Amino acid sequence: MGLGDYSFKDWLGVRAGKVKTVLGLYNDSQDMAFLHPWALLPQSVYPLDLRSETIAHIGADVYGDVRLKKLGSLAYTVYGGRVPSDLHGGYIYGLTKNNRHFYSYSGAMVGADLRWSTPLKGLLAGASFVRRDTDTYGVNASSNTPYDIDTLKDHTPAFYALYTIGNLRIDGEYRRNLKVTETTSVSSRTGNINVSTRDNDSRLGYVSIAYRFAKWLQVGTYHSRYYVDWGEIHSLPNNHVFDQAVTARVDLSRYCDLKIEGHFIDGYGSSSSDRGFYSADNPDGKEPNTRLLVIRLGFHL
Amino acid sequence: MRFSPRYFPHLWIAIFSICTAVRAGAEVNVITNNNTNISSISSDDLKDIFLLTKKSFADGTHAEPVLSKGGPAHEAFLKHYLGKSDDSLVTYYRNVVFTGKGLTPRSFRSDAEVSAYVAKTKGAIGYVGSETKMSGVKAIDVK
Repeated sequence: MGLGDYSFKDWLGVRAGKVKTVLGLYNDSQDMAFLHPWALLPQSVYPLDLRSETIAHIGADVYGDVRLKKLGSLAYTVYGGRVPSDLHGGYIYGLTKNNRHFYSYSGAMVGADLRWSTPLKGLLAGASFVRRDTDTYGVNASSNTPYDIDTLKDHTPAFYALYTIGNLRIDGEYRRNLKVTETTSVSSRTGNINVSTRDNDSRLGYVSIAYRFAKWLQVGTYHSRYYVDWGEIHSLPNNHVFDQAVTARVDLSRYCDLKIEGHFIDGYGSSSSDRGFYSADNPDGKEPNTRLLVIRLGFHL
Repeated sequence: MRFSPRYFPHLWIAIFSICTAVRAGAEVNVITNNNTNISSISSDDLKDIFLLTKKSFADGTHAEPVLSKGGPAHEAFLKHYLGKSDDSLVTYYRNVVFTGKGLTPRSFRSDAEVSAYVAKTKGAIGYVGSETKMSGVKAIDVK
């Protein structure tokens, strides 16, 4: 990440370059595992597969903090720029099937975040919004015919809250992704141009609780939910991913931690869900339930 | 005026709050460079400066927070003015640094080192134990 930052006043600053995107509670710190109790952040909201495209933007931010006297304080960020292009990320990987190859993925994004440090000690609440406008260009490798995806709409409002008291930490987020895409392809048999539109209303969120029992031990759990399309049948395994995770974090020293985390996952979403389940990796199909054990040893400054 | 027993809980809460505030002030002095034009600071501003959301004093002068690495004054300051433990403060600063929003404030091993740095740095604000000899710095009130 490279950026320049200048603060004119407490309530007005600017930064530009490749800037971490402020969206929800942990978007800009999702790559800093030592800051979180979890080995994997709730994948409904922070999919590891999409991190390279969601964690930052190439552009500029305007930000600031405004004290509201007895009402706490507000921190705002408004940003705009380009979506980082990652042809090896989860989005492209999820599209890669039936011998498709993609060579370009780019677009613009704008967004804002407003977070309120409330007068109630330990309570933070906020809302974010991001809009993306991306174009993806590829080919059907077998026929070398174009296969393009144009985003007509990609809006994500997000709401979140965090409460900490003593060694207890409770947080939760809710997002809704409204996405309309237009896919243009050429039939290798007839040469006809096919145009199809897909309209998706994805809803996602989680609730988590963590408690630090000792300087070296923190235990927590979260429930994460992702609905691929709210308008479709929720119970279908290809339309949801539910994840109940239980974690123990052991701080071996100030610079080293060990996380042991179990995941009880129901559903797998669609191939374009970008939540870890891909048709390319599962040619024989996917199981409706998954059990996952993650053991993560981290070293940090 | 008769003193009703139903006011006893409120009275004890008030007494406890006053004692707590007095005790915080008794354990730690908030200090600034002698050339700083302030003699007091609100607890909200003090907290904002050390949590890096405020970069200047009320008169517009640049403020540079200075911490101690540990000790009774450090613990008292974190507890009474920042509402954080040492571990949570470290996590907070790491979040700020690794999201590109700021730098961790300078910290020193002893009250004497904190006092020496504040004395030579315009705009510096730190904290020391109430027993620490102060030279080149002044204690300010926290309201």
